Amino acid sequence: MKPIVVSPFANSDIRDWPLDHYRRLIELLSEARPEAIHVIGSPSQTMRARDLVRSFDPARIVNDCGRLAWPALEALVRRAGCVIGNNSGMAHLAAFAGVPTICIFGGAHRRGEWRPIGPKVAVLSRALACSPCGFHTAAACPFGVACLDQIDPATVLQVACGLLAGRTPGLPATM
Amino acid sequence: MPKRVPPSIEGSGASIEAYRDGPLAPYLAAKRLRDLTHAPDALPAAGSQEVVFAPWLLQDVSDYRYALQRWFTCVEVGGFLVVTVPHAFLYDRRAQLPSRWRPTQKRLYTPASLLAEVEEALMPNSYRVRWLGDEDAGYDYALGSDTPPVGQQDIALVLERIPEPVWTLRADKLPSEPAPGPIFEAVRTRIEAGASAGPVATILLLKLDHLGDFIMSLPAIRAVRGHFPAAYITLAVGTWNETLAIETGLADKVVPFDAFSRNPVEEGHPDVAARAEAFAALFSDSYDLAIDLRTFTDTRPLLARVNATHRAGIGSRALWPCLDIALPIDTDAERLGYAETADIGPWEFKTGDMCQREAGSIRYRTDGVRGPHYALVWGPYRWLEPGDYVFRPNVQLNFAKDGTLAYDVVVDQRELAAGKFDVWRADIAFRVQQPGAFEFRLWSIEGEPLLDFDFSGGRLFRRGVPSDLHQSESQLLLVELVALRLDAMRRAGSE
Repeated sequence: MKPIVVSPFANSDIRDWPLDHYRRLIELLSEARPEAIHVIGSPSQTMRARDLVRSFDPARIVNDCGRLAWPALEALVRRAGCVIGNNSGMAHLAAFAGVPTICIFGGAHRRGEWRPIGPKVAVLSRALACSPCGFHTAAACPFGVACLDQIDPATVLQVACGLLAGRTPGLPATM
Repeated sequence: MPKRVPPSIEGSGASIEAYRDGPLAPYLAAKRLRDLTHAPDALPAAGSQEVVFAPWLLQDVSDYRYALQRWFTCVEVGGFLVVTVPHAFLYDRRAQLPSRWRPTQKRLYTPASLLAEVEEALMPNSYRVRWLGDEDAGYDYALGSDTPPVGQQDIALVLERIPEPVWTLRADKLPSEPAPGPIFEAVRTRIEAGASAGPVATILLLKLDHLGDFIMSLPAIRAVRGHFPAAYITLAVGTWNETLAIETGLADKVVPFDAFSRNPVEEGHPDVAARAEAFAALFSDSYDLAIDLRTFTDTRPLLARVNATHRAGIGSRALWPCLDIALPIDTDAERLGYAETADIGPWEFKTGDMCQREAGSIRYRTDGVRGPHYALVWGPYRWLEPGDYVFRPNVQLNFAKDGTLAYDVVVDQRELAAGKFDVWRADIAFRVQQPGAFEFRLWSIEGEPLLDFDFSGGRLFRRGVPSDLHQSESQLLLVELVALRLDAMRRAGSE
């Protein structure tokens, strides 16, 4: 059974879907799906990853954040059944490799310009008038990064289950 | 939340007595101590124990996060959780599972990996690490690895439970206003996937302009043939290019259509958009792909009438929604030659009594009197570094009356350009060799009446090396973009 990979950290917090949302998504995924869920990230993101996985059984929710050398990390992503991440390098890698990919895309950047490209990619974004803002940090946003905060974990779960069942979302990209 | 199963493990058989003399001794001397050695599943009440001792248990538990959380819960604030595990390098003497001596073991440990599990399991600032170390008292390092080790061979960890601080490590949620909703669509979560497409079997190419344009398009047409070798290509050209188009052999069919006149200077510029009906009637077939290879966008209304699955062209989709694949390059190559621009408003200029300062402009209305030579407007004294500059003053002149208006450009008292305005708006070019304050002035000329004018500042450019895209390059880029996009769509459609 191919694992699900969750890559919850981008290089800038303006692109990070809230950790509580990722926690809820992992909870929903672990109830709905039988696959192991691997949390990945760089060594500098380890403490946040520990916070994310704390309430889960390590046999199902594997914390690989900061633990894998690049070849192993890349291999994990390439053999994943689905990769879920922010607008970040891992989402681009997975999409490029043809792995079913969900990119939870914040409003700081233009998604038509920066979205991951691949045959099995779903890009989730929030339609807000303030996007794209071009901010570099979450602290700069006067709206509490609503563009990411308002994306519901249940919606992401629904798309993930579809991708894992071999269905890509029917809506074509509007970019 | 998925149901967590408490660890059900056999007691390790490790004896508390083995630790009485070592660094754990002060902790194990507690009166209210629960030794989990023989009954690891039977836990005391939360917060009831001064010390909970879990020797050689954790390595056999799959859900180490839950086990540590449950054990830690039993410890009172100020009490201690004491955990020991076999040391990978002393007990197992290997770096990966299976354990040499205990097949039930789920993980091998070093002090770092044990602490990592603790950090993963317990809330930060709910504990402090009071002791962590290798226990190797009496360990016989001379024994071979096939012989069971002798002496202590553990890692021991002591955690003190502390009252949790009122603050947390999580970033405070910033005060925020409600985010604004978009004007043109409902607030919603968009779920978008790349579009998918089937193979391209029929292509219509529009290359309706003149001979030189056609020749410059040949690399792009050749590239279309290269990307779609099996496609049936119809090429629409002006009648003047029909023979040449056939001779190239790049298209399966060449169809002449005159959207332009052969010689616009002699015959005038026809309204290309008005030819759309005739074009649509001639090219009424369905195509998988239609590409307009004209760089200027005046033929896009013709492309819009083509019944094609994909329409591609240079331009923006905002202006030309008919384009499924748009290459949004700026065809104003001249603009790309400007390194910097600065808009200078009229309020940055000074003026004399002859002029009136209106909202947004400086105005002069003539009394027809021939006056002396004097300055009417001057400023803004912006500092300029050496370079080539163009100043484009925004001056509205009333040429219905006779008169002249002169200008000059001065940098630090050095006149770099001077002249009179004519019916064409002047772009005033000047070269700054020594840095200094830039001054633009409007003058009357002695003995000549002044023109009525409204001056509203201007735009200052610093010129650089232009980054021209050749026509053939623009079109090749368009074709490559089409190939990229359709390849991505085909991959999405086939997998």
